[in-house]
Amino acid sequence: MAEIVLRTRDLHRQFVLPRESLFRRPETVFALNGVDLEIEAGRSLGVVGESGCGKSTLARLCMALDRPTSGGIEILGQDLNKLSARELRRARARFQMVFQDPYGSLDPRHTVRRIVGETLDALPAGERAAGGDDAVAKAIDAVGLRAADLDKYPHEFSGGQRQRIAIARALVTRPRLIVADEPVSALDVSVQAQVLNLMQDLAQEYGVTYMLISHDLGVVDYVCDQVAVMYLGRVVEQASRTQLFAKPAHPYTRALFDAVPKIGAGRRKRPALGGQIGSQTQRHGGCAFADRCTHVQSRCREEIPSLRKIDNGHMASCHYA
Amino acid sequence: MALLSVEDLTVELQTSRGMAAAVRGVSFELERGGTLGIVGESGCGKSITALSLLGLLPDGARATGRIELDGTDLLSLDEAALCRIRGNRIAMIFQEPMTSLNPVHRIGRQIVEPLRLHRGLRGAGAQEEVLRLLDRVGLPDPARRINAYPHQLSGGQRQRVMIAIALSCAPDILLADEPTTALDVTIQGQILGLINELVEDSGMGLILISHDLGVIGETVDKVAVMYGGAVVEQGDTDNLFNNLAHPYSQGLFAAVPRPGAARPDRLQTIRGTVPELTDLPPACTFADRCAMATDICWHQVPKMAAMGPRGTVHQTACHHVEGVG
Repeated sequence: MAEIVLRTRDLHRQFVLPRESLFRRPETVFALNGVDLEIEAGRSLGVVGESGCGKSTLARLCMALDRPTSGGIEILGQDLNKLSARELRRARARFQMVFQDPYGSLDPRHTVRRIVGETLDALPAGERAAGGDDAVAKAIDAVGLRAADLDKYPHEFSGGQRQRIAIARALVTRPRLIVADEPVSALDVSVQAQVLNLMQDLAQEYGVTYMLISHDLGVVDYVCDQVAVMYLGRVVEQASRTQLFAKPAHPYTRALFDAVPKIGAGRRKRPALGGQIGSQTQRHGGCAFADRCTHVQSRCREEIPSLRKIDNGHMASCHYA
Repeated sequence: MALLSVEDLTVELQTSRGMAAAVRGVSFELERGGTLGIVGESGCGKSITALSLLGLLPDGARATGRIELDGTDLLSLDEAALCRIRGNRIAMIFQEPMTSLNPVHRIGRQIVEPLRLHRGLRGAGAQEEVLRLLDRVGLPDPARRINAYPHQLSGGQRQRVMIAIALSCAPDILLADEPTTALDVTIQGQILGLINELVEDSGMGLILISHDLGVIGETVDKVAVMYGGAVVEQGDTDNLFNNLAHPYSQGLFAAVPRPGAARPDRLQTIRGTVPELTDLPPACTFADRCAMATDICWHQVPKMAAMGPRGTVHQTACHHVEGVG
């Protein structure tokens, strides 16, 4: 059995909204409602879902940028919630993040050398991999930039190159897990392919496992081995990418697949999914997808379906999957 | 005669390094009831082309060529005449439904505005028309929503309001610039379905601008692929997607990862990045990224040449693609 890089147990996160009225209780956003995930070393996980499904909250919790309301996160067997601030800082060498916006996530006043090197400087002395500057140069080389680029500033680079810098910054501590939140959605198609290829190469060369968050099924299919589909704070289906794309079991997953425009399929009417994503401020008594589901039965509105095994390595939370 | 005919349109923009051509010699035609898609990456000139149809170019921009709407050259019209066309005969849906609606006005008032300006509707008559429009674009509970502010609506609902505004004067041409890019995929399907349905019902022409090949392929009859301000390939949608000829179109098509297909070892990429407007190669704008580029590509602008069997519409501008008569 391969090593588990990341494990979440019944993860919940709620945000209390500002009070709208003195006499009413403030509303609560239920961002995550019990998420259990496991990522094995070398089997990258893709998380897909639409806006408001909790995928970015999940990423922030896994990076210990935010604390869960309840539930636990283990990275390489270490429970993040039980670490002291100092221990957490040390542990951060092993998990890093790449953000969506390559324009907002790099400090415009710092050189590339400083941006990439800062990750190392932030680690306690003992954790610093051998040779600070050497490690920075190696990381920059690994993402396909040149040594001459080290003393340039972010504005001198294009969007794709900036995302390479962001990846180098994550890579420099030699992490085991990189959480990438929509890493290519701000890039043009032709550049997106370059960055995705790079991520594939690095996974093999550096033994990095990704948790890739994206709304783009094509991107997830290309980079990941496992896929989890989220809807309103819950994982509704999880399987290997081959199983999921061949036999999607949950009605939402199928609707999501149908909604993706197919290139070169000719003109067609898409089977449109009716309605819109339900409210995050209400708790759903039954299946959160019931209002939009075409196969809805009365049981769906009464009983919350649990994520159950429907095939070897394939789980779905639908009463009728 | 075509409803809209654009001929050799060139737009130069003022940049910090002098004038730069954002659109270079673009020509296309749109028939009544026809649908045209313009596809390309950021900076390819697709939005500037759309804005020039409406006379909404940024200050200091210079447009030459001809844009004829029913025989009237739009480039020669003054501001007052353009105001009578904008929103009335050519309407536009913008990408960002969050920023293109006025946040301090109720949506009812924003839909009434074009009705008052172009159709002279007032009071109860205008109100009734607003309700009809909101109902037509499928906004639930229009009588109550008419008093809502944009922030009280979801992204998809806001885009429906934008479409209602665009439809209000029964335009001849609907210009949709990335209408679904800011929306989730399931909502995207609903909005594209709505646009398609409206185009079929009303017989207006549609120009759909998108970077998404899938959205374009599903929605329009004719496609123009743009790169670096020039149309590099155009033709009937199915025809074009089945026989991509230009190296850029081929590269763009191959670079998209497709879910569910056999996973390739590597995605094909187009080397380099989209250059700045002022750094574009002088002749064929794709020359610096093209694997097939030779000397001639740097010195002579390639001309549009017909492709494929007789009877099909498919043209491409590349020195290295053999045209077939």
